[in-house]
Amino acid sequence: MFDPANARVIGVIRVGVGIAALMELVASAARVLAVADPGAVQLPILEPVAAVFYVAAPLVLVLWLAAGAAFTLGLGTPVAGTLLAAVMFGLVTADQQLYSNHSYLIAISVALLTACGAGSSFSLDARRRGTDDDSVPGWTILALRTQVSIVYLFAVTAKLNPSFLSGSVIAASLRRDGIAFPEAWIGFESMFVLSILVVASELFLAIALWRPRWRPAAFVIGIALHAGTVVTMHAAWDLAVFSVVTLTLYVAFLDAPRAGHAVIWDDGCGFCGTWVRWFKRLDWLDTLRFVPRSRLTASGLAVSEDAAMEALHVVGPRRTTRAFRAVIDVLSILPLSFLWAALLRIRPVVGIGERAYARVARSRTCPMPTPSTAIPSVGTRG
Amino acid sequence: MKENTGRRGLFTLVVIGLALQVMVASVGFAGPRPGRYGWQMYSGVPSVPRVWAVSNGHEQQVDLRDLLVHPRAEIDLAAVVRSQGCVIIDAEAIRVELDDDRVETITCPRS
Repeated sequence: MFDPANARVIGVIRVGVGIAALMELVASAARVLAVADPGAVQLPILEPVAAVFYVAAPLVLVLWLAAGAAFTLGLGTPVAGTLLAAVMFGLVTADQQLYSNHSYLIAISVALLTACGAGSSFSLDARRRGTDDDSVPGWTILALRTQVSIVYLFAVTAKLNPSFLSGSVIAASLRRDGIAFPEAWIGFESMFVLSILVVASELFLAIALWRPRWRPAAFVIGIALHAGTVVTMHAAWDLAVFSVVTLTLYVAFLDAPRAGHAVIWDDGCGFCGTWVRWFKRLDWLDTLRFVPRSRLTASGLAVSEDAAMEALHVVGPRRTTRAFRAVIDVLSILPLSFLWAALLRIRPVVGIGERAYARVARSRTCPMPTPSTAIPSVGTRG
Repeated sequence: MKENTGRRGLFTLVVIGLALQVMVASVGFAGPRPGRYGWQMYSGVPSVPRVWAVSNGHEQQVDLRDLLVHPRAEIDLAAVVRSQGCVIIDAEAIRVELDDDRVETITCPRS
């Protein structure tokens, strides 16, 4: 538990949570100012905290903006994180009208990330120091994973009541204008089924994210569940903020050791080089190590030069993949694509992908000598 | 050594924080759904009492949610009426019909 983990994971999550905090500022600013109006109905939770918000609402918002931006960028992260956490915890304990579950989750996440040293990597702090710390203690990742499961476990337990399971909560929450469920679909049977699906999904997520074999499916179900709420329910912006912070925390479940995956590519091909440049730009977790074909022999990796010339290869901790499956493995580890990359492994999709890859590889314009009859090394898939 | 002590201190703090969160959320199950600090979002239909403002013998129905800046589902509107009804609603009395069909009448002090 105290073994080192990739600090970039914490850094990337910090950026996502910071963005969610700023998104919440957009939604809450008008409410904070309105509640602070002496003519408004005020419903304080903790009187001292409420007093600060009522008296100094504009100052609180400025502090929120400054701390949120600094935390996102990783500038003075310990101070920015502490201030941002204080503002967010203040928001959820000041007035009943300002409370929201996503703000509560942001508050807890910011506090956890600050305690876990979220500014040590993928941050302006790291750039200014001239270092980008390689590791954080493993318990930091464990804490973030635990937070995700706490949310889902309590969410599903709270929903185990006749009111929710009957479907009436979902029916009342569905949007009736814009992109909406057709009114004819909103009946007892359909809403009952939907409520069971929601409960089953949240329970699955609470457990499956911890199991490497089920994790790709959990990522897909997670993004489907959260995206579904944003598209179909009232308070879309609030649900979008909740989705951003929750799905960002999913990064903690990625198996992403620093330079843990070797990507072997043909550096004699400009087309391949373009793809590799994009992979490098998006490899925010710094988990990919790019090995050009010209340096393959020196690398000691068990992939032949002929094989490297034919297709992209990814050598991971447990397996080696090539061609389209190698692309899937790369996408499965990039923060912008890991949530949906598992969809590419569905049988018809992977078949189409392999054929498309082969066609592109055959027709790419960079020079490509006739491959020898050498068989790729044992253990290579695809 | 000092760094290890600091990190173990942070670890202890994080564990305490997570445990506190779980305790608070667990206690929240004792209350009506949905409640605060318990990840009970969309877990229940909020209770919305029917409220009438009574003045000069006339009754006018009032939707409390329209009087709030942001009517969250966790807010106990019946408690709001009892504590602040006479301040929020300009009336001689306020009649409240709760979910269990009980009716309460709140007489407002003459200003």
